[in-house]
Amino acid sequence: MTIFALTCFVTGTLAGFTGFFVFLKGMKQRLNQIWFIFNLSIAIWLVGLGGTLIVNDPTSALIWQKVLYVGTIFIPFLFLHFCVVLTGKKYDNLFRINAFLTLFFTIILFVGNLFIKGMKTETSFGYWPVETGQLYYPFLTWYGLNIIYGFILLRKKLQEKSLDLNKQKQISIIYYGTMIGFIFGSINFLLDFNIIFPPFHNFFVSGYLVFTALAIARYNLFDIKVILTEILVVATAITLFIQAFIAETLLLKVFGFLLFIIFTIFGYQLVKSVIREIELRAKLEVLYGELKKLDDAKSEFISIASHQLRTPLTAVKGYVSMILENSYGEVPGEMNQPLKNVYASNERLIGLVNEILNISKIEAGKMEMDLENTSLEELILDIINELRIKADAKKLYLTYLKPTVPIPLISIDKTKIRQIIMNLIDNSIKYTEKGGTAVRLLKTDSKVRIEISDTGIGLEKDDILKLFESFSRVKASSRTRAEGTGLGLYIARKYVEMHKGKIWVESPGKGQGSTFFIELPIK
Amino acid sequence: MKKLLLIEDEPVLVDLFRDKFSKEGFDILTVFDSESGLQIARIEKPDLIILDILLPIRNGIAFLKKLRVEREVSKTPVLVYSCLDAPDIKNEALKLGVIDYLLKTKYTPDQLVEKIKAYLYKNGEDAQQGV
Repeated sequence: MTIFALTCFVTGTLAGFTGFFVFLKGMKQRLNQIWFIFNLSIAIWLVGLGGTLIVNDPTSALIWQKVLYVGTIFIPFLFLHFCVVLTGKKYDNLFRINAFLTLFFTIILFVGNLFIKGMKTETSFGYWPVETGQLYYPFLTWYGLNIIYGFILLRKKLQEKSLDLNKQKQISIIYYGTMIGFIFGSINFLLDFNIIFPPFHNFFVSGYLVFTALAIARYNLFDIKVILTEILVVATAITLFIQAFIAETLLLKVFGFLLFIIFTIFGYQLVKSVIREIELRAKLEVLYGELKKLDDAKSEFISIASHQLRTPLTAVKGYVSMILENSYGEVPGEMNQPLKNVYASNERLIGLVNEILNISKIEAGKMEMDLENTSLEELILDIINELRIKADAKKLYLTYLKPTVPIPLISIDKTKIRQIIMNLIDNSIKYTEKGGTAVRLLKTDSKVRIEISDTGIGLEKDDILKLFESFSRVKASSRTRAEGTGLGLYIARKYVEMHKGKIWVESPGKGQGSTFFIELPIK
Repeated sequence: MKKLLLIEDEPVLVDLFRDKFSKEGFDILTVFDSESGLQIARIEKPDLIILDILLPIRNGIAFLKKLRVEREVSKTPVLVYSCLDAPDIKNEALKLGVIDYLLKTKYTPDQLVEKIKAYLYKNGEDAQQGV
C-alpha cells in the first residue's frame, strides 16, 4: 500500500471517529448530528480515494470511485447545512433544492453515464481517474456555490459585533479549519481532468480534523471535553486492572490493584473537576458579560451626565461674566466680590466635571496618548513663567534649578505632562505661605526626574499613602483651603503610569514642606 | 453689519448669546436644530456659523457634511462651540474645515466674541468699522 492510500484510510477513520464522538456527546443536538454525518461523508470520500489507490483493475477502481463520489456528493449539502445551523440562519427553499440535488446526483452516479462515463488508465502512483459525464460540470458548479455560500455565512457571523468571544473563536477555527480541508481536498478534482500528480496535498485535509479537535478541546465546541477525559480515565483504569490481574506475584497483584483503586478514585475526581471547570467557566462568562455591560453603561452614563452638566455651567459662566463686564448695567460695588465668588465656584465645578470625564476615560481605557519629542526644560520654564505672577502675589520665590548634564528630548504627551507639572507647582504655591517653590530637573540612568520642593504645609505619613488615590484630598490642605477636587493627583498618577513613569511625594512631616517627584523613562 | 448664525438647542444659551452678539453689534440669527440651520444658511448667507455638536435629529458633524457639499453655502466659515470634548469628533470637525473647535466651558462670551472678531477681521480691517 502506498503512503497516499495509507493517509487516506487513517484520515478517513479519524474523521469518522471524531464525528462519532461528537455525536455521542449530543445525539439530540442538531449541530452534533450534522457534524457527524458531514464527517462520515468525508470518511467515505477518503476511504473511496484510498480504495482507488490500492486496486489494480478498472472494474474494482470504478466501484471505489463510486464510493468516493457518494461521499463527495453529500459534502456540499451537509457543509452548508452545518454552517446554516451554526450561524442560526434560515433557508427552507434552498434546503429543499439541495436535498433534491443531492439525491439526484446520487441516483445518476449509479444509473446511466451522465455522471461518470467510464474509467481512464491508471496513473503512475496507482490512481484511476474517471471519464466525466455531461452532468459532472453542473455538479461541480453546485458543489462550489454551496461551499462558497457556507464560508460567506461563517464570515458574516464572524463580523457580527454582538458575537461573544468564545463563539467567535469556535466559528473562526471551524472557518479556517474547513477552508484548509476544502482547498486541499478540492485539488483531487483535477485528477479527473488529466492534471495528474500524487495526492500529497491530502495530508492537509487532516488539517480540518486538527482544527476541529482544537475547537473541541479549547473552546468546548460540542461539549465533548468531558467525554474525552472520561475515555482517557476509563482506558487507563482498564489497562491498570488488566496489568494487576495478570501480575505474576501476589505482591505485584496487591500493588497493581491498589494502584488501580487509587487511580480510579483520582480519575473520578478528575472527571468531576473537568465538569465543574466547564460549568464554572460558562457561569463566569455570563457574569463577565453582564459586568462588562454594566461597566459600559456606567462609563456612558458618566460621559452623558458630564456633557449635560456643562450646558448650565456654560450659562452661569456666560451670564456672570457678562454681569461683571457691566453688560446688564453698572454692577454695584458691594456685589462685585460675591459675583466673582459665584464665578470662581462655577469654574471649580467646571474643573470637577472635566476631571470626572478624564477619569471615566482613563478607566474605560479610552484616554489616548499624543506622543511627541519634547524638551522638558522648555516646558518647565514655560510653566514657571506662567505661574510667576501667582508666586509674586504671595511674595514667594519660584526658582528653577538647571540640570548639570544636558537633558535629551523625550517622547511624551506634552499636554498631559504639562497639566501635571502645572498642577503640582500651582498646588505648591497654593499651600505655601512663607518661602517658596524650587523646581529641579535631573537625569538618572535611563530616566528623567522632575522635583518640585516647597516650604509649605507638608504632609503627614498617612496622607502620603492616600494622596494619589481618587477622592482623597488630605486633611491638612482641606483645612486650609477647599479648592481642590481630590482628583488631580489621581489623574496625574494615571497619566504618569500611561508614560510608564512614576510619581510620588516625600515630606518630613506637617509644616515642613514637601517634595513631589515625577520620573519618566528616556526612550 | 456682519451676520452670524447660531445653531444651538439650549434656549438659555441662545438668549445669552443673542444678548451678547447684539450688544457687540452683530446681526444674530438663531435656530435650534441643524436642519433649520441649513435652510437659514441658504437664505441668509451668514458671514459665520457658530455650531453646537450635540443637536437634536441631526448632529453638528452631519450638518457640516451637508453644508460642505452645497455649492452656495459650502464656503461659509464655521466655528464649533460645544460641550462635547471628544478628540475623534474634534478631528472630524477640523477635517471638515471648521475654523476652531471650542469647548463651551472654557470660554466666556467675551472671549468667544474676540475669537470671532479676530477671524472676521483678520485682514487688517478695523473691527469696529465692519460691525
